[in-house]
Amino acid sequence: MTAVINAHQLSRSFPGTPPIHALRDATLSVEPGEKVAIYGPSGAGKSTLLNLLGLLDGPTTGSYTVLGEETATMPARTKDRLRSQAIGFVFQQFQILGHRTTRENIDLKLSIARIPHAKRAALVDDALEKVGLTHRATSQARNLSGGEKQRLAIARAIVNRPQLLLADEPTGNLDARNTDLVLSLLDDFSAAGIAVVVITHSDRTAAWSHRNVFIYDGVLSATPPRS
Amino acid sequence: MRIFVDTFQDCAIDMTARLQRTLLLIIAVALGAGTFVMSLGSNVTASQQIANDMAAGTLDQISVAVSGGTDTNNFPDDADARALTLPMVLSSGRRIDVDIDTAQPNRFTTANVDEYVQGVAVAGVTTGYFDVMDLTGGTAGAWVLDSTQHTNVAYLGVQAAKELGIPTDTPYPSGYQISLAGHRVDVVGIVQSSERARVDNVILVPYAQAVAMKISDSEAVLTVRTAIGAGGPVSKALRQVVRPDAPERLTVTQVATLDSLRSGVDSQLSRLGMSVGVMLLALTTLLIANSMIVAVMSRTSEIGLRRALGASQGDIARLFLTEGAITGFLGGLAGAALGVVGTLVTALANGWSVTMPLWLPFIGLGIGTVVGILASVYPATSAARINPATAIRVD
Ligand SMILES: Nc1ncnc2c1ncn2[C@@H]1O[C@H](COP(=O)(O)OP(=O)(O)OP(=O)(O)O)[C@@H](O)[C@H]1O
Ligand SMILES: [Mg+2]
Repeated sequence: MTAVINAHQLSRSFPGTPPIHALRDATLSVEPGEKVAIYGPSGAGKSTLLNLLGLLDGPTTGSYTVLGEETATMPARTKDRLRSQAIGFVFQQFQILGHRTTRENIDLKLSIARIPHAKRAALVDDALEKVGLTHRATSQARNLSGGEKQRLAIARAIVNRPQLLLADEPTGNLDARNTDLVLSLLDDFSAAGIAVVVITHSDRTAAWSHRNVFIYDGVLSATPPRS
Repeated sequence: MRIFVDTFQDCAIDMTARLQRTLLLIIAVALGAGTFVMSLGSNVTASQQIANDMAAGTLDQISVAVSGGTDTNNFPDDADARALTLPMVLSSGRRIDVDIDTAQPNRFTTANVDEYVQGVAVAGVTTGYFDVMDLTGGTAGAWVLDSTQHTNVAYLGVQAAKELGIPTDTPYPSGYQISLAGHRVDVVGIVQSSERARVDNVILVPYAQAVAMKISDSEAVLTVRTAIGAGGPVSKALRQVVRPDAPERLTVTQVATLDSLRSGVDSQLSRLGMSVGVMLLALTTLLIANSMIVAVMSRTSEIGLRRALGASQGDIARLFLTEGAITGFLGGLAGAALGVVGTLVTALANGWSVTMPLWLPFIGLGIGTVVGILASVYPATSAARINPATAIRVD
């Protein structure tokens, strides 16, 4: 089976004086169905890495192949298509449209992916049910609780049945009960063959994953750095 | 097609969420487009009115002249009456100008003088000519003009009377004579000019008298006045009625169409009104553009989110262009209504008959939409350039 993610020596620097080397020579590969937790302190470069993996940003150097497609020479439209159809992204800040309903927030992803109207309702219903938000379908998203918003963000990420799910601290603000709920959701996706990459601060999440990757000052390692 | 339905729905949600701003912009477009439509509409109505007025004065006249040659008796004596037999002909009369060297007009003296009064003209007319040209004053006995005898009478235009030393304070000065071609002529009336004919400096004599002076009637013109709109059919039948034996000896001229005049008036008025409308529209465009730039900035993270979820730059641009188009369209709709009402009010206030071209409201609609799209071009491109990675970092 080919790897979903195949990143080789990815680096990302941001211009500045001095320049910020947010990520250095990161090499990572993730198989379908695999659960990987990226674990590291604040400012270590976790979101920077996830943005590269999710095609929101491009590396300064290094090569990245996602779902068998090399990204270096990939046209922008192809990246857009992969983001809309093959990659689910749960953002660190929820990035939910408060003035739209739960249902409309999820539907937005399908609308962007140009899924025909006829198929959308069923997909949205399915996603709502998976995250347990069916009873909140018509609520204004701004009125949802923190845990509900997090689950809405997950529902939007998986509604279009992606092959890769990237989640930036999906359990960051949640209590133990909600954290377990989200983790068991992610388990289901992984069991369905989706590659799941989760950024986390929490030991609970780190313990849940198949594999932990540590990041410190932009550098990845398989073992926790000695302090 | 589906994309547009989706984009439309997307816009509808956002525009209703920001209802006050949306309404404000729609009103702005409505005012701009409305003013434009109104100025356009009023122009059309006004110039149509002017054209109508001019047409009413002139398009009901038909002239019949002699085709050429020096034949005498081109017009039968009863030519006026013959023309009147046609339906829709209101009046008809003839005129023939006599050159001043032939007529030699002068004050009447018993002395033999070679000079004659300059600055006057001499014309022979039939009574019908008075009717055709709406000439007034001293016309009670005008029947003498139709006399085929050598009747030595004359009507004087006001200026001609002054030149000849005849008082003009009474329409029937009595006891005055002038001299024409060496003959003594009695002045029987003072004639006032009308809008149709200026005869201030003209000495009017019986038609037959003038023809006799010229020996030929080849320079005579028969003028016919018809009911408005009857010019065409009447002019077709006229020659046949006047000269059934030789219609080809006559030439009929309908008074020229006024299209060129009309369009001249049009463009002058239009330029003025248009420039006001265009300035208002430019202002509206800037207003919308400004408001949309603000909207794009405040929606940066939403735009970043859309990009992150897979929307292309084109999708983002289309979103804002569509929003602009919808705003412009709705504003244009309201503006068209506003403009049409404004045009009606202007027309009524001026007592004009309303000429509302069917395309007028559509102009408003089109202009509103164009303004909306134009205004959103820059905001849309700057929205499309938003970087998703940085945009989603903010809440
Ligand atoms: N667009 C940018 N321009 C400049 N510097 C940036 C940019 N994005 C990230 N950085 C810097 O890169 C470093 C890594 O940032 P990143 O967001 O990846 O950290 P993180 O590990 O996700 O932290 P946290 O756990 O707090 O979210 C930080 O020092 C940050 O300031
Ligand atoms: Mg982060």
